[in-house]
Amino acid sequence: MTTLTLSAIEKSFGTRRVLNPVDLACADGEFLVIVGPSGCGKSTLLRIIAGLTQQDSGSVRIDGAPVDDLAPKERDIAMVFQSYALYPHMTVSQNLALPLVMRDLNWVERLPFAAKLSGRVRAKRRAALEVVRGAAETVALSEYLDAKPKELSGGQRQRVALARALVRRPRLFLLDEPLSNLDAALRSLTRTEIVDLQRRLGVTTVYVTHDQVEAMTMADRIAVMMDGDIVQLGTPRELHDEPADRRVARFIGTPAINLLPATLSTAGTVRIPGLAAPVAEVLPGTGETASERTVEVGVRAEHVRLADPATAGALRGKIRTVEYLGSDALIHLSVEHLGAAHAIVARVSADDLAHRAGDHVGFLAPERVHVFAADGRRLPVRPRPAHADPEPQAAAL
Amino acid sequence: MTLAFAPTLVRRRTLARVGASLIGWAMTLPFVAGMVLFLVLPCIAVLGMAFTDWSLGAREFGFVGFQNFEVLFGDRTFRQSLGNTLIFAAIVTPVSVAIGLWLAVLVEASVRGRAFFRSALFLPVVSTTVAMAIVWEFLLHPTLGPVNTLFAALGLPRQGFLADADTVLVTLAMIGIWENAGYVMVLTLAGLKSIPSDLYDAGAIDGVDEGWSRFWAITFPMLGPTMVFVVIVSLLRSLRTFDTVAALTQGGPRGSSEVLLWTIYEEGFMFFRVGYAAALTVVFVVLLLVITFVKFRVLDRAVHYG
Repeated sequence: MTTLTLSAIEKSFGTRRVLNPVDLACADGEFLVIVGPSGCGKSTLLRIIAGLTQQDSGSVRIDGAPVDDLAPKERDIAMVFQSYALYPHMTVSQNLALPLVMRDLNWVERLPFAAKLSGRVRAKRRAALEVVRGAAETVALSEYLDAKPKELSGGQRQRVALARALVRRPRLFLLDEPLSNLDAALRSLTRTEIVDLQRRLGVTTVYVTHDQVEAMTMADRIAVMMDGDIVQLGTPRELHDEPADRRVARFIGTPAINLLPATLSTAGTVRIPGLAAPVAEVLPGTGETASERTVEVGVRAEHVRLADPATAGALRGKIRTVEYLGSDALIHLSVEHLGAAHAIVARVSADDLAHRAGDHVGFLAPERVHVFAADGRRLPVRPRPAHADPEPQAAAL
Repeated sequence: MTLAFAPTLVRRRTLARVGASLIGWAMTLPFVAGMVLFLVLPCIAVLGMAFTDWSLGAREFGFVGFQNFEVLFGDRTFRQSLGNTLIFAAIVTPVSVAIGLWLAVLVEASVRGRAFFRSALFLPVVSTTVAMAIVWEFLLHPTLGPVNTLFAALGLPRQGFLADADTVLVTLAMIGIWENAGYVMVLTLAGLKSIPSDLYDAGAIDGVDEGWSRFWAITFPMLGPTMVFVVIVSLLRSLRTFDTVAALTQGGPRGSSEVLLWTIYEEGFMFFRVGYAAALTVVFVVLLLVITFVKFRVLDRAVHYG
């Protein structure tokens, strides 16, 4: 049972403010991913949890007890670094044993000849080796116990780093971009391996990454960090379906959400200029409907509806490129009134793919949209009733 | 048609290749010429002279075979000189490396004054030894020197230092340590910079987080390549020691500070026995080669590189 609670953590480096007061709670056994663009403060936050960096103010509590005055080794945590930080002069076995040896043996017992003189030291060393073997087996590295890190591939080194974090059975597992140095194929494989391992051990985990795909696929909950703030905390589904603001919407999801300029009437109707049908109704009471305003409409690629260019009430667009992905395809098109630089991406099923670059298509009012106010806040919209627009793209083309 | 073209094409290519390698040689020529003229030829000349009885300025000389070497190994002065050199190196190398390493770790860890300490401790390396020797001579003077005044004030017996056959070599070694420790420190500082900070972070979490355990588990092993280099360079520097001896003791008193390079200089340029000095030089170079060989064969294997 391990919970982690951060309250009002602040940090500045010189005059540069890295963390505004950050609050975050992690439940027992939870896989929490902190995701954000580089420089948002996520690694600093992780280092503060580990005790490698001291916060300016605020408190870190593990299982309810403050650990702010404890050295990293006393916090009973383990950390995996982006560089793996393996000790290059030690074998895999020695790398894995180090945390155990440092915890279980005092400095006299650690002397090289102590094991020759004392049966108790021998027993301790044997016990450590047993644990090391077990950990190596967990990550399928049993054959490499005597190898030096430089003899191993990137993926193997990464697994050594994981195993080193496992040996002590820590209360808290911290991972700092552990997959960044792996190639794409290995990365997706290791992703599932780490999740499996975490589920099996049930250890509370905080995982930092800049890659939203990692965050979406691995996390129980995601904390999106930007400019030193946690802008949204929620399950991957919540983040995708109900982003707190424009930044989160842009950050989560591949390809990035399409943003189109739109107007919001006093009655709450959102219209994209040039489109006949309104795209959404903003719920009253948001404070944004008092007068006519400019807003932005976010449409995910899978919700973009294409139609025949001749369709009444549709915008006309021209296909720039078609990205074929196997099961589906991404169509990049420029919509005439948005200007050539502004592309919209539509995801269509590859089975229905009848488009070529250069084709003209119609762009219809999408069914599911997000509406963002000028300050980036997401405005709640009324669920749309099924409407009688012309047939969706599959039938039309 | 195609077949007829083939030979000319091949020939043209061969010519181009020869041309390219000629240009390559031409470009290395200034360096190669310099090396042959100032390094290879003199070495061969020294090796040749070692088997002659040539005296500086003599009109003629004869080949004497291994006679120089026979004399040399029976010579008391040479044996003392070799012994002194080895003792000097055996004191200066380990002590200056240990002190230099200690200073480097200290300077690296200091928050303030890092640049000052680095420059101050490197000063002995860049300063002229002969000029510094005068300062040392004054400091260590048996009667007038402040060091002896200090000793007296502390109730310690006065020392002869450079004037006493029993203490002269140790005193010279202390000066050697003072000269070399700063050099070791600067090299080690560069080595310390190259240790990734992630390793210390990982260590802090694994429990390797203070003083000695951190030094022995991370810093020292990671400095391995630097240490090998530093030890070898220090060893070679201390075997080559000459200027302090020449300026302060000239081998005395009674040969007790006789070192190899000084003996070579004495034989060659004061007694003009060039053949004999050449033989001494050959022995000296062989000693250096053995050390270099040991470095490549033994030390490099025991050390982790990147």
